[in-house]
Amino acid sequence: MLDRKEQLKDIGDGESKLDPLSACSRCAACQSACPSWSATQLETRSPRGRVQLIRAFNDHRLADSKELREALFTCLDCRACETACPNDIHPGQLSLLKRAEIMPDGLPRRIRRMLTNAPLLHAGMMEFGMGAMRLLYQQTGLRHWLRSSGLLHSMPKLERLDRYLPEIPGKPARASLPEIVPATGVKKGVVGYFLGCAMNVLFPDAALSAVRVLSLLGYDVLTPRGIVCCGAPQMTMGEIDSAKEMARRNIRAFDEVDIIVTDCAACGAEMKGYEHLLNVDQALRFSAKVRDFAEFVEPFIGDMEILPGCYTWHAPCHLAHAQGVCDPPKRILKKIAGEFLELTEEDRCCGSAGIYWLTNPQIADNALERKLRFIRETNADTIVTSNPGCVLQLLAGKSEGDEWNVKYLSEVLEVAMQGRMENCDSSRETNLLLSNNKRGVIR
Amino acid sequence: MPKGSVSADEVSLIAYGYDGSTSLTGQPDAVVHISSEAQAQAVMRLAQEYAAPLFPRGAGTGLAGGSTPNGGVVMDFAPMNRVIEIDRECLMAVVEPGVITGDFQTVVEKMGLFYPPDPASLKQCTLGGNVATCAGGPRCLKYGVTREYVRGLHFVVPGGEVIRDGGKYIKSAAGYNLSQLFIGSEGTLGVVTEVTLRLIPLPETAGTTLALFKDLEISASAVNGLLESGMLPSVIEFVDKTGIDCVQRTWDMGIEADVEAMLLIESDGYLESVRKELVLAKEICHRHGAKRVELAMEKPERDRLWKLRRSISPALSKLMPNKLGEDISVPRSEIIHMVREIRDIASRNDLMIPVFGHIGDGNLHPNVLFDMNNGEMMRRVENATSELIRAAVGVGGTLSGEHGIGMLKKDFLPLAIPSINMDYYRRIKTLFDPLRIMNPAKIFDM
Repeated sequence: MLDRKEQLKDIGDGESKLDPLSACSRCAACQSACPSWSATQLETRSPRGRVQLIRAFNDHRLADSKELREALFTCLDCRACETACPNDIHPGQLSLLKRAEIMPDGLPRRIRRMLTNAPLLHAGMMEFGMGAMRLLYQQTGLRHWLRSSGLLHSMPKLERLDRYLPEIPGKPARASLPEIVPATGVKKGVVGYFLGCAMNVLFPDAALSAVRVLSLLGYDVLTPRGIVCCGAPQMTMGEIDSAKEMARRNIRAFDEVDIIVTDCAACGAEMKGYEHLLNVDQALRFSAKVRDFAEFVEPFIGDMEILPGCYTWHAPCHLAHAQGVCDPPKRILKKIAGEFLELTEEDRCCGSAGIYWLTNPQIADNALERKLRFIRETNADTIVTSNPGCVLQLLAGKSEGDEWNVKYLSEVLEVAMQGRMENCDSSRETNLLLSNNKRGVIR
Repeated sequence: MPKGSVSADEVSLIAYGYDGSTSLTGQPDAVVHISSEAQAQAVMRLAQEYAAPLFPRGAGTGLAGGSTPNGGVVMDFAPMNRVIEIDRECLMAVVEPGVITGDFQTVVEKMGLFYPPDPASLKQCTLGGNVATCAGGPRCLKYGVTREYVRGLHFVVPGGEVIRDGGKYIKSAAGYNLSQLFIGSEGTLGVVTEVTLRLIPLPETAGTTLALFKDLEISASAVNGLLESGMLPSVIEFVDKTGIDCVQRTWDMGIEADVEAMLLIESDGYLESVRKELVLAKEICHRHGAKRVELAMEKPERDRLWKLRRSISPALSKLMPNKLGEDISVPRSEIIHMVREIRDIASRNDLMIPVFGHIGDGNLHPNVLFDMNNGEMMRRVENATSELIRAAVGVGGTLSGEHGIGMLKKDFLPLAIPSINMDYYRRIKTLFDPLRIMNPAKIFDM
């Protein structure tokens, strides 16, 4: 039996010497955990099915086909199968790697790669694009007109895009985030902060909250200007070489820090996986430095219990399954929230999964409905999570009768910490950033 | 048939070619995804017309190749998964065959009701598949197997006719019991399209006793002591030394090196009676020379006691790539004899065969560990398997307690079943399925 590293290395590098997949005993323990299986009840949409198909492909019993690609591309990459597997097989990651292997290289693919790489490698370009979208689409009344004219209804994909796109903030996080934010009070050390693309352009308030919490805990926070996209979107599209390039750039950008914190579960999972992706010493060292926000701050958080209201935790797949970080965020919430309510199936995928909600709407909606049913059962008024995809998905599913809102862990934690500081120390020092605090509620 | 309900692409044909066994694989010519009784009838009619072999399939979690195809058409019942009715007054439920056993249990338990059969694959297997194999599980010691809960069936026979048998009543002395004939027939007579299941009230609480023994025989005498004491535990599970060692090679469970056998005893019912039974179980185990006994009533503690038993399957696959889970069922009085016999077989064939299972009802799972790519080892595995089954039959037992015969154990069935019985099997099969299109070459050859 190969351990995880060997399993993924062999497959990732193309030709596999051993057959790690033979350890799949076909028990189907992964099946009920899989959102694409639950939505379709099809073996070809289940982790066990995908592993067996990959095996058949490796053994030359199965050729590349449209159906094989559909089987691999309908995986949400939620990794719940990997938590469920008793034999340490990684059907989710294997499916991603196989996508990269079977995608034929042609002009359409190269054009798509070029178009997607550009904004992911150049934050400025993405910021410009989003800014333009905000000005030309959301603020001119075009959006309002499209919605009210009923035109959107005849274009389901566009209608979906429109429904998922939140009000784009006027300023990305980078615009108000200096490269170094000093520690508040006594300095304990320096941490790197990985500012993900979506956090930067869609949820800057939450990103700044994360930085301020780190500063309040006594850390200088370094957000290097050289960082690029973590590579996760390219991995899901089968563009492994682009993902590798992004990994190399990020590794270089964070050369000088020992800890890299990120508040985006997807980015965290991707970066912890650089060691498998690149399989070189620097990557191994880099991945060992990566911490999820909750994972890093939890040991420093004492009991506060000052936030009024009922809170619950939706565990992003890339945090619970891909990173195995399950308890720290809940422990934090239990310490700061007036009331914490358990969410049934908290670590089950909400169906967002990158842009899966756009590419596979039926399966995504099925997963979302299931998630919303349990959310409504809790009667919580704040759903806390830590992944931009989940936030967009939950908000898109929120209907008129729903009283709850969705917040990032960093935001609620900052409110609790500021509140406590106000209670016990009115003359505290504030740095530049703190005055910027809007305690943003995500609409 | 609705659009999308037939798949015949290469990818689907591979994906519907296997079940939960590690070694059996076939390939169908087509897969039909069934979502109603009418669709099942249509398929059965057509198949009869063209003499096309049919392979019914629930979730493909069987362990004996019972649903694996060989050409022909796989009838996939996974989409037919509605719970039609839960009747509180009658304590009965009516379900479609594709309902997942564990999901069904969750639904009825929310209503304070209980469906006890608990095969290890309950989170993924289907009730239709449970009926086809007469699935069991640990709790069957107290509550009985699937057979005890089926009160009625709709099944479609080749040609498309529906036989509706039984209903929401407990007793029946009217006519032959066709449902009982159908249960465990592994899809060789027809397909189930509706099941009426008996429910019982959900026990208030449950508790666990863990007992460790330095001697195999003593542990078996403790089992007898428990069952003769007047209490009926819901579960008595057993793990032998090889099984314990296999788990502890990967995870240290803090079990001492001189432990030869482990028993897990579950009691359920009203709080007072569970408490009483746990104390009694502890006393009996001590009286029979247990080295260490632990009791637990709270969920986390109970999970801790169960951890070793639940870790066996993954632990085994870390040692060897393949395993063959045998499923012998022997008279309780012969368990000790059987476990010793298994040890001999393991050492004679130079194989690792950890034993665990449902000792309380005599159903043991010796797991033969092997590597499929090692040809020489495969011969020893074949030899050991045959010796195991012969030994079980030799002590008055049989070769499968709850997995079924499928393809895996077909060759061994005549060892346990007299030839006149086999002759009647063939006559019954011919009566239902004259063209032999239903799951051909399963259980026995015609």
